[in-house]
Amino acid sequence: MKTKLSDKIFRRWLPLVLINIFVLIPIWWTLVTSLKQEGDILKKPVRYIPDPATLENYMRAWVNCRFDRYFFNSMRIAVVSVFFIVVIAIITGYALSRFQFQGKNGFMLMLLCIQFIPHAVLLIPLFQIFNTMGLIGKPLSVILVCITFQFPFNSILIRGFIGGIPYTLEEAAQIDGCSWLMAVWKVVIPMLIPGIVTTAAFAFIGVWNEFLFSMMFLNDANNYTIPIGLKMMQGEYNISYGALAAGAIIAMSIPVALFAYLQKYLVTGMGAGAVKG
Amino acid sequence: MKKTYVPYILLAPAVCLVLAFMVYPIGNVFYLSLRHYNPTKPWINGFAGFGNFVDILSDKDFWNALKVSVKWVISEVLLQLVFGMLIALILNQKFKGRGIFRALTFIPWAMSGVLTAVLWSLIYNQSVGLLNNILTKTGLIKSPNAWLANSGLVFGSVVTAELWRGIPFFAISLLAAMQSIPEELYEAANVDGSSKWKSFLYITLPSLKETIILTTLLRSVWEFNSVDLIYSLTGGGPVGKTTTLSILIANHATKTSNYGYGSAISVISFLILAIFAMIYLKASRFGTEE
Amino acid sequence: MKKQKRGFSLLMSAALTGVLLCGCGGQSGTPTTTQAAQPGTAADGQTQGQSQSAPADSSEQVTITFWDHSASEIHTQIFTHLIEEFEKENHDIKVNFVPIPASDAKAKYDVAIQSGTAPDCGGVSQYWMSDFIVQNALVALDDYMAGWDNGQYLLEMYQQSIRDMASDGKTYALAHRVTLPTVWLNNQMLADAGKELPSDWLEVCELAQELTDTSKGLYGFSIRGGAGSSQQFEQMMYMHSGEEMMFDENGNSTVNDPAHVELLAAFADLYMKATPESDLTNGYAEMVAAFDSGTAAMIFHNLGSYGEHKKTLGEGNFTAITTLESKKETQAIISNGATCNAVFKDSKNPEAAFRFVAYLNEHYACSYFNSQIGQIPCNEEALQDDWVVEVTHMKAAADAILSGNCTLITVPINVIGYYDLHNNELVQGFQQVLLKEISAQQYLDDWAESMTGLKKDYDAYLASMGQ
Repeated sequence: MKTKLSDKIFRRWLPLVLINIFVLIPIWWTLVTSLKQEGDILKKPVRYIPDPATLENYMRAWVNCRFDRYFFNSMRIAVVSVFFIVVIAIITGYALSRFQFQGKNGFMLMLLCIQFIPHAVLLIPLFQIFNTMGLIGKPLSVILVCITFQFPFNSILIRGFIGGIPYTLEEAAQIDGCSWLMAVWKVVIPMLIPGIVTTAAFAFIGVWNEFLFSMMFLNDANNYTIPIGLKMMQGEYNISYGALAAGAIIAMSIPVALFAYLQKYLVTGMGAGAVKG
Repeated sequence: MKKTYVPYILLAPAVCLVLAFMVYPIGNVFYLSLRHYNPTKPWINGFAGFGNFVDILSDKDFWNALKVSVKWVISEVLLQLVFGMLIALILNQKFKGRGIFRALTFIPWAMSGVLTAVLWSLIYNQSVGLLNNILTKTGLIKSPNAWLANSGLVFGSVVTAELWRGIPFFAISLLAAMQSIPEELYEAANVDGSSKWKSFLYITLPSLKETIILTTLLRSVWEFNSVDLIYSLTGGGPVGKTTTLSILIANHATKTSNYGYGSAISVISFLILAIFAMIYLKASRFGTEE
Repeated sequence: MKKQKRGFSLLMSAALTGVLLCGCGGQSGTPTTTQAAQPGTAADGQTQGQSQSAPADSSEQVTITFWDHSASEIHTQIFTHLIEEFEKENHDIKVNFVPIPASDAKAKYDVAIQSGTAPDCGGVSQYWMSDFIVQNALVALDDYMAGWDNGQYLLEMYQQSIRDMASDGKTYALAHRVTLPTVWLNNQMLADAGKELPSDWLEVCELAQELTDTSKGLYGFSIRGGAGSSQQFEQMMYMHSGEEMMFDENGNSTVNDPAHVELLAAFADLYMKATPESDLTNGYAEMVAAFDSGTAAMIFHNLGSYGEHKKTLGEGNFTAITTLESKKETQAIISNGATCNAVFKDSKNPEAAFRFVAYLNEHYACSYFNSQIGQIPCNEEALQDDWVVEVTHMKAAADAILSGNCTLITVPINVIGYYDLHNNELVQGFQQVLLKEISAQQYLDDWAESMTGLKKDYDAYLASMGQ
């Protein structure tokens, strides 16, 4: 399908470039700040190119501020949480999309409603629950909280995606001799890939940037995550903007890299053997 | 149809999580809303009945916060939806380098609320901020603006910061949903001589209807409860101009230990959202195509 | 199909491995590369999930947990060193160090106290103490202090202030460090205008106007109008009036003293004329940025931000004005609380916890700590150390404290509800005064009324508890 040049410019490149400028300027500014010496950041006149440029902020963040350790902790919590969030979102979303059963609407409403309560007021009772379970101080408590808070949103999202996949495809596969489970695995999952990628991306970010419960449940700096590390750069009487910026770049690098790799799965027709109709 | 116990098995893990971790905490919030409870002021503790609610509804701070919350949610969700849709449409087309642009679009979402706030407060800073610097250098404004202090500018400034962060949510959700629209539909429409705009209206939009309804609802709830960014940028100021209901809750329930009062505001906030959700779903005739 | 089955099982094993990894509860055992060994890594799993462990048997080793409520790079380095030294001399005590970001430390303490999981000891801000004491969370240290010789070197006036926090007059914490309120002044801007240092607050206001040149984007003063505004201004007001009693003999708050109204009205006039418009929502960071970028000639803060200014403006380019004449011509230090160390009731080893806290407050540790961060140690011996004497503003502060004719006036942080009031009402009111929406008199009258009411409630409660 050939597109005219004027179409290309006005419908694609111009808006794309404009929007990307809006998106990227703050990021570029963070990068510039991270490369400036600490004392230069607040100086006037405002410098657009760091001069001298330095990597000391990155060294400080990684070594002194122990970002190497926090990075590992964040990864560990994120990978485990996201796996379970996606799995639970898929089975919950599938149940809500494909079945009619008693309590379905109530359950969906409940999933929606539990997102209405701000986390801050749930903090103390949740702390008490985990304390009784002996999990305070252990990363597992953070993982469980993340899963609990993230799966309703993602279940509803997946439900929507599954809704867009015609049930006739599953039926056809079953007629072909597959069991119900096999039909789902062969038909629904491949076509759900864009939905799974989206869910995983959102869940990952939600967990990666989670601060409140990590802060409150963890008691050992060796278990701290990146958001906690970043907060510690804002001290009582000092804010290390440079180290903060460097830490932010480090923190962003993983989700962005992950998404850069996964975005290729956001394509039409990922279904192997999709039946037209 | 299917064996009737299958859905219950599928929902079991979700139900377990909710029973274990949500029932007691949420119940606790409702319970506390009916009590005066502040551990640092033991002399006020006791049963309150609807006392907290009466206090809240007669507090002008509450109504101001509610007004700001509504303004906030409407502007954020609408703007994010429009821009998100625009980007999704562009990134759905096949062109060289779209992978890179997709990755770039995602970046603001990867930043946490607190970090975004620190970053934008630097940008908005009156003396050393990037925005004033660029605008004065290019002559677009004469003297530096106080983006976060000026009553006229502050709301727009905070909205912009959150918009920057929120567009990727819609862009990616809509992009993902667009993948299940078969290309043949567009091809057929093209053959029929349909314009791009018509294709959008009659093919894209209807197919995305469910996703749009869901994402706007979810995002509205999210924005209604969003605290980090606003709090770090303005603290709810100046003079309550950016104090949303969620910030009011944060002030009463976490900054100070006024749990009874804070829980009561949470309950009211909950009811508002619940009613909104129900009306919204009914009005958009959600699920009628199942 | 085979491929999919493999993919699925790969995923499952990855997830299970992940669960197993985290089930081990975050053991480290991996020392970081260039850092000195991190203290008390919980590799034994003993302290996981609990903040106390072994029974207090004096011959066995005991592990205590210390929470640093103002964590930062420097703090961690300092504590690492100090804990190492402490453990060398006290083989039976192991200290587990937990750094907590300043912005969330109070909240974390609150959660811990309410669930009975507070640490053995930790750093606390004095103005949190009233909350903690009313919840019975702190251990009174008087008995432990009886046998502590070096306790005599604690600064008495700050300890008295701490004893005033509790209705029973007991010592619930040890003051460790303070900062003195000060006006920071940009030397260059002063010299350029050819002016002199101001000697009292009204001269500060005049000077602010004289140093303003809006055509160049330069302002005489940057006011903190956002978070923390009312607390800072309270200090300024009492510095100006010299009033020593927070409440008069009838129990009414003195915050609406005429001198206070005068000062607030003067500053409200300065807003937008001699200060940037953005001051209205200035938090600490923005106010410091205004000063450090050379936009504002003066700000009011405390000696604690010295490091920040040195970083950007450079040593010698700015001055600390700590003494301004008050209307009563007394010499007073207005304090909004010291930074203290306390022992918590939830501790299973309060004696060991006290030993560590006492160590932190003794000469060596106190001096070492404060020399690294540039604050004033609450220890007489430390105040006479070289590093204090060599820095002008530190020496001035030390002299004032040690002279014996300086009074310490503490704002009413011992009244429950003080912090709530500031956070939920007074900041917003302050902004309204700057915006000329309400008058300074009105604002201060309301403030006084609220404060009086809070004190009445608190006193009534104490009376009902038989104190």
